[in-house]
Amino acid sequence: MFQSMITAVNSDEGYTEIVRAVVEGRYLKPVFSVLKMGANSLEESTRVFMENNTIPADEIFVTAFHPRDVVFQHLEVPRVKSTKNLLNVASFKAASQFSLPPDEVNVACLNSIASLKSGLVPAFVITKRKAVFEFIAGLTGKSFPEPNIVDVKPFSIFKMAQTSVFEGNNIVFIVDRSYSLLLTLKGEEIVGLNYINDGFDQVASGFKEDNSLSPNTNIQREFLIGSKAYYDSLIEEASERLEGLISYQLRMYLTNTMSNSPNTSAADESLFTRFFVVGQSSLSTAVYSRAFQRILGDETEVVSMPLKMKETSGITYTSVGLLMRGGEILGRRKLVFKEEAGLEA
Amino acid sequence: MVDVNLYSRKKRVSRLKYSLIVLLIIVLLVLGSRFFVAQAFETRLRQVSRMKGYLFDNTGTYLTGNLKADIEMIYDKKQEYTVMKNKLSKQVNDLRAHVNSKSVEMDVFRTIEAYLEDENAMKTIASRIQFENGVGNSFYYLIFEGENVSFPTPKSTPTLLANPSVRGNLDFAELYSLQLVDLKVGGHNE
Repeated sequence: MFQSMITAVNSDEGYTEIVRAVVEGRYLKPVFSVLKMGANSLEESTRVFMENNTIPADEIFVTAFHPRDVVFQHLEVPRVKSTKNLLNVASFKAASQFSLPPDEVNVACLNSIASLKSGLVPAFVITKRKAVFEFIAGLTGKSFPEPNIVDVKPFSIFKMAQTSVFEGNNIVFIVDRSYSLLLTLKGEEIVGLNYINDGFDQVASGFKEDNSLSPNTNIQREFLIGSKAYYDSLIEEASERLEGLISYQLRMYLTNTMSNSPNTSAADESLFTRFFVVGQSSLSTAVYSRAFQRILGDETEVVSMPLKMKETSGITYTSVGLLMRGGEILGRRKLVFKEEAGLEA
Repeated sequence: MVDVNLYSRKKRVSRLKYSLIVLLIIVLLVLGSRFFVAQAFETRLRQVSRMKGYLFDNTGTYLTGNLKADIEMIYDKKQEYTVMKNKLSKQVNDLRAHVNSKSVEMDVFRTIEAYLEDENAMKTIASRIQFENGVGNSFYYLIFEGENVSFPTPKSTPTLLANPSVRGNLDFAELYSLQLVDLKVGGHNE
């Protein structure tokens, strides 16, 4: 009754994961998680979750908006003193671009206010306010409380990253089932980003009929929460297949990201010598790391993004990040995700 | 890395846990304060009781611990004893005046008694003794052996000036002499 709990809903095209964790001192301990695949995954996972849990209205509830429903854009803004002013100016500029009233546009800045002093053109997440309200209404209609945080996927992953490795210029590639995001970072500041409409679904779907896997293995599910420790041959095979699929496109994405950002140019590509890769599990991370090492290994150091926690927790990295963001609301800034065997549906 | 939140309208709901903890702290503070104040009062009460124990025992009063009632009770008791003190002071003054008046009378009679016990006389017969307005009068006979009479003298020093006057001497059966004395004591200072 008196324990602080956090619930996170991570919904995507083709899967939904709902996780609940309890805050005990400095630790977040997952106590329940459900991951359902398929078109009706949100309804199914909600049903299973509600059968086993009761969420009070005051519980910390965190969810994330899908990046396909937002626009990532760099906006040139005058120097402002506060984040509130920055968002007001950005709302106005974004609204004028989309021919909408400013109060119908929802913006969030991806850069810190301090970084603007260095002349950086900040990146914004722009979405229609109506779309956010419809998304929230969809969740509250399923008996979830009003969310404390509506993040944008997959940025919550950075909550579990060891940010000390981001010194200098780096490229980060984050992949989910249905999309990927390519980010260029200077220190911890995003200087360029590129939303890619392909995720690991195209790779994982090719292994449905593979005889080397156990008949009951759902490889899509394993890409979300599986451990790389059990799938050496799969990693090898999947990375080879991925290499064939993305080899040309990856270089194009990199060049586009550099050239489309007002903060970088195509010529800056050589300055970004480290390439961090992260998926939703250690398995998907390993597949993409291996493939990108083959593609870019000669010119760039490709590594899996170092995490603050063990690589395998049975929960997607996005959901872990959402839980940790929820934990920050309670004021415990040094929350550490502590993996324990939780109830899993 | 900057945190993104597209919806920040949810009002912070005060958790029941924290509300109860705050309520508990307030209750504990109130009870604690009452306890410490009560303890302090009781300690002071015991000190006062020890100091004023005799007074309380003899006045039939005791402190109840109810500050207001105790203050009223002590105030009433003080008023009562002030009235009593005034009354007794008046009585003492009356008694002192009475004793003063009686002491003059006693001195007068003590002087008369001293004269009546004349050591030279065989016998003393008081014919009249009276006291009026601070002055005593005595008329008495002194019987001496033979004709050896003497002027009446007290065997001890009288406290008031006596004024004896011999009215006459009379031989009585040749063996005795009779002396008639009119004694006046007091009234000389008036």
